[in-house]
Amino acid sequence: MPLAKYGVVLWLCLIIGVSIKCADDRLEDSNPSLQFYQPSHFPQAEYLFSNNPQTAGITEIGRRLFFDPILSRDSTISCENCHVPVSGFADPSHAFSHGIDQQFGSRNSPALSNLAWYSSFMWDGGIAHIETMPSAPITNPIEMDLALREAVLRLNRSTYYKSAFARHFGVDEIESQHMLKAMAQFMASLISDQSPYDAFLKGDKSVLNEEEKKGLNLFQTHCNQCHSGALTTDFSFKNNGLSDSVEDEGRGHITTLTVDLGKFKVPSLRNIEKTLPYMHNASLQTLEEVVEHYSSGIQAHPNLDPSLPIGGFQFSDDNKEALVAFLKSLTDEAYLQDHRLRNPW
Amino acid sequence: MAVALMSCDKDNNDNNNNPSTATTGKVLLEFDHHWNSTAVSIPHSTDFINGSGELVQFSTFRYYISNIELVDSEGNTWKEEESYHLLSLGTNAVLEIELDLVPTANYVGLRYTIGVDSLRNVSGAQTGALDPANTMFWTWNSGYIFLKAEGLETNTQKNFAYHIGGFRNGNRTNALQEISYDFAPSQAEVTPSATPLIHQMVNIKKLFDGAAMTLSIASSSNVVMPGQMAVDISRNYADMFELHHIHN
Repeated sequence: MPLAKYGVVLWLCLIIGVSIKCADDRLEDSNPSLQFYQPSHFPQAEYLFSNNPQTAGITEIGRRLFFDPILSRDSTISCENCHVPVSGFADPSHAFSHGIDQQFGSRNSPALSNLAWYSSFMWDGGIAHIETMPSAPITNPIEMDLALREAVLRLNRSTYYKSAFARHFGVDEIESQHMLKAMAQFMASLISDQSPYDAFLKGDKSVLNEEEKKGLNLFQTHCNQCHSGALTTDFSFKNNGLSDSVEDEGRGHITTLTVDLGKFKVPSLRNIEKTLPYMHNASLQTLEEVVEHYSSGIQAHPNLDPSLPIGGFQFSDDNKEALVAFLKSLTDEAYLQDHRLRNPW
Repeated sequence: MAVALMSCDKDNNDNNNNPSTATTGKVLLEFDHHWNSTAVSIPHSTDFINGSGELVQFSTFRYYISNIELVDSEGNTWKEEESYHLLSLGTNAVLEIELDLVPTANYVGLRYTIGVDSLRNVSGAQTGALDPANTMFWTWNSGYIFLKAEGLETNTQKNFAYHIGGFRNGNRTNALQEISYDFAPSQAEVTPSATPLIHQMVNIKKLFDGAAMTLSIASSSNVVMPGQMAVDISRNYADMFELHHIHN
């Protein structure tokens, strides 16, 4: 009798096994464990995890580091303080990046998504690689102000990190390289590819309403030269006429070239509805103000991008509304609500 | 005597005929730091006087030597693998780099770079000599600091900091400098049992008073980012290195 019972169970297992296999396939399609993947409508990613093969364990260490105040000198702030997941990993509550001891930087915290497609980071593109990216805010005296040597000492003193790095990297002694690679695995897995605009690009033309489509047409005429492709950026550095003088050297600080003064990275517009305030200097608070800038506010900066007319494009009120409507179709709720991208502590 | 000579010839022939069984040895590079004729170690009790009459007291003097290559008498080039070395001047004026697994040969030339090549500057998180925790890395403008000299002008009590690097945009910010020596008429004879010693003098005064410019602390006490000034200073310090002798 017990044997017969086991036989039934065995058969059930085999049947269920088949359906589990099917379920696995579906799960893989919806990317259940946080992991990098290449969306079909995106260009080829820049970061391909060479010398840093991705595992679930290492990605999880990276997530914990991202949300851990241990990486600030006084252990009060983590990356999350300026990169809030529900706000598209931007900081809606401060114009400028907000460091320890109530210090402020001079530029707005950028929104984070699709970082694996970038070959330079920060508004001025000064950072050349996703793995070295976190070392800037961690060590910056007006941000987290922690020397890498001290960060590594702290991780080696932590029971969690000590055993996690031993288990997933196979090392007795954590080095900065291990910390940075783990963070890169998490950061490169921040993929936003589920907005209505994504569905539209993949062929579902019905997902945008008439006003959004009108906005898209205007966007393609006036904005798309720089905010191009599925990532809505060509990764170049431009001046967009926020001011007629060089108040911040921007890209020019990195290249030392006069022609780069006052230029900043063309940001991705993904989740732009949620990533206020806008521009490197946080000078615009709403999408309406952003559109108004391009309509009537473009100033004659010496390095103004030639595709932008001084004085602006003079959009009609209807066109401004259509542009704002289109920009809201870049909101990716699945990304903003993804619990795998939240604070695990 | 005759037997010994024959034995030597036989060995040489074997090496030439069977390169796959070639043996290896070591080479020692010595960097002997001086201010003109005075040895420099850190800390040092006596100030050095630069060409601008300033009293120089160093607290830090560190630099990268990388991509070391040896050229043998046949014209073959041997390249050290993963060739990145951070030299930090401390209580000993002489710093050493030991090259291992160098094929047995007579070497007639040496090349290396002061700094870190552009590729490695943009290749992600590094370890060892290139660990960014060594504080020879600009986090905000990613790239290695090739040479870091810090200290005090004791007369005016003015601190100086020279963090020299930069690999972008051709010559405008590229501070990479290559050093190349022709050993002639000497050779460095590498065998499994003989480690030649290549002794170099490094005249730190050239940092201030070099081929490219006169650097004065009064007018430029802080050069801490890539740019034309950094390139000029790198040309100055490239002039520091001088082959003194080879000891076989």
